[in-house]
Amino acid sequence: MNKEGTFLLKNFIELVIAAIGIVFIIILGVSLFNFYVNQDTKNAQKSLDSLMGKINALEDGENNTFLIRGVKGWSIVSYSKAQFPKPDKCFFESCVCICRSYSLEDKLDTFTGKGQADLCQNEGFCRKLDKDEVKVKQARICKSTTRVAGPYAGQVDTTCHYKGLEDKLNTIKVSKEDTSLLLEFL
Amino acid sequence: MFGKRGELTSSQIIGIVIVLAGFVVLLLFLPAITSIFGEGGDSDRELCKLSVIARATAPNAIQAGVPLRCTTEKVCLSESGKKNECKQFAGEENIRGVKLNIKDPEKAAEVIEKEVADSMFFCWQTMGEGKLDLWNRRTSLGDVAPMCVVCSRVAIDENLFNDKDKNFTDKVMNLVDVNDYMANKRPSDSVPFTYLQFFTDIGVGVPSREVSTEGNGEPSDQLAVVFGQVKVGKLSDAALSTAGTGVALYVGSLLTPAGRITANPYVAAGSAITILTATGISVYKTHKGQVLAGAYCGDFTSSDEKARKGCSVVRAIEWDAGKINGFCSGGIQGDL
Repeated sequence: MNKEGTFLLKNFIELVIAAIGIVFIIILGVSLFNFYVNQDTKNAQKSLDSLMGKINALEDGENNTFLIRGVKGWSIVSYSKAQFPKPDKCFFESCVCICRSYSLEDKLDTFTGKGQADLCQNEGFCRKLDKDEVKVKQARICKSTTRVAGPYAGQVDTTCHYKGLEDKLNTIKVSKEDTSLLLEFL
Repeated sequence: MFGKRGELTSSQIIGIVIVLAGFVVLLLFLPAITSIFGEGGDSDRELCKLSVIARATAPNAIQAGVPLRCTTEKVCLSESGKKNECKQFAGEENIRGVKLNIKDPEKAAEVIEKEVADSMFFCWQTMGEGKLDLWNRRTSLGDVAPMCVVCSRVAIDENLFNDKDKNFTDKVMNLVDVNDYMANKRPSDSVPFTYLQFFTDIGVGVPSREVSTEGNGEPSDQLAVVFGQVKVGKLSDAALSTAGTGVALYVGSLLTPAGRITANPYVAAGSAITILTATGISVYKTHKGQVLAGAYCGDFTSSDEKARKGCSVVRAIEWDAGKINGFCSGGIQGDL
């Protein structure tokens, strides 16, 4: 600025260049943050959408085998119409979800399945299906512990969780019937 | 235009700000605009190429944070040429339909050969001809596990195989010889070299016919053209340096049962061997034991001052989870 405080062209250009620099750095920072933080989530959503595309392309009575890209630490979970508990986002319909797999360390209510449903509600994506029954056949990891004290001493508690997807291509067989859908990991 | 002392008027300031804001908005929405004006094909390839260059030239610390915007192109070969004829791509996007005139088996076979050869050619070109350093994930051995981008998937309408009257396998598939095509044909009239010469040095002639132990005797109805890259650790530095600068390689010397590969001075580390000898390599002529790939081993161009060494391969592999996962043990990047 000059003595009289007038805003000169030179000042303005400097200001604009500085502003562009700052905006660029912010955009770069946000992009990197999003990439690191949301990449798995985005991939999970894409995998579910790809699977739904395959399911929708099948006619009732048909089955086919497809490859879908897995996301480590996530599982494909299904909820039938009459099944409870299930994620609120499925309402009263059957649905297929991709959700973060819970681990034994999560100490969730694995007996009722509420833990996984909560995870699907809060950290998952669900797509509704017009079928009464939807099942996913996949490997589960179970752990048994024997109570050593208390009124239930000697009782064996077993908790299980889905092995979940691997960060690679997974083969899945989809069998579509009139009222049911079966997803089978091969 | 300006006042006596060079001041800007308010309308000029507003004008400049609007132009700058427009520029920023354009930058922000460039990927979206690109996808609107050209789905698939060249625009996707250009976008992928830009992201490849951006990643290769990014500083080491943020290299992994630069996303590869590469989307797998799906090529559906069918009688009608419609893009929804291939059940293999049911529910998927970015499909390109290609017509096969099976009444002229030789022509149909050539169309298949060209699609596979072009897929490999564009993949190799898009990914920087294997000379760019794209990712950095190390194994326990200190090597970088092979990571991949699936450039394209080429599928043939299942009905062609199922319709026994058409006798598609015998009439058309038995004529398909991608290796031969790549050795003798050019990507286009304006390109002065054959596909094979593009993958190798110009002086290389017809590739040797290697017999693979892979293949179950049946032609595959879908294959993936996959670009893979592996970087090697200290163990193999000496072996790699024996060759000096990078050397392009082709089918014969690499795509052989594991016993042959050790003769190659570039390949000493575990991961490199994995990427170059991964099981299940096949083209449509799997049942004849032919295999296909282009590869480069040597120094990568990197922002890192110390150039890294390793191998890059573009390869046609049957679209099978075991085979792709075996080849790309470090993971797959890009949109499938």
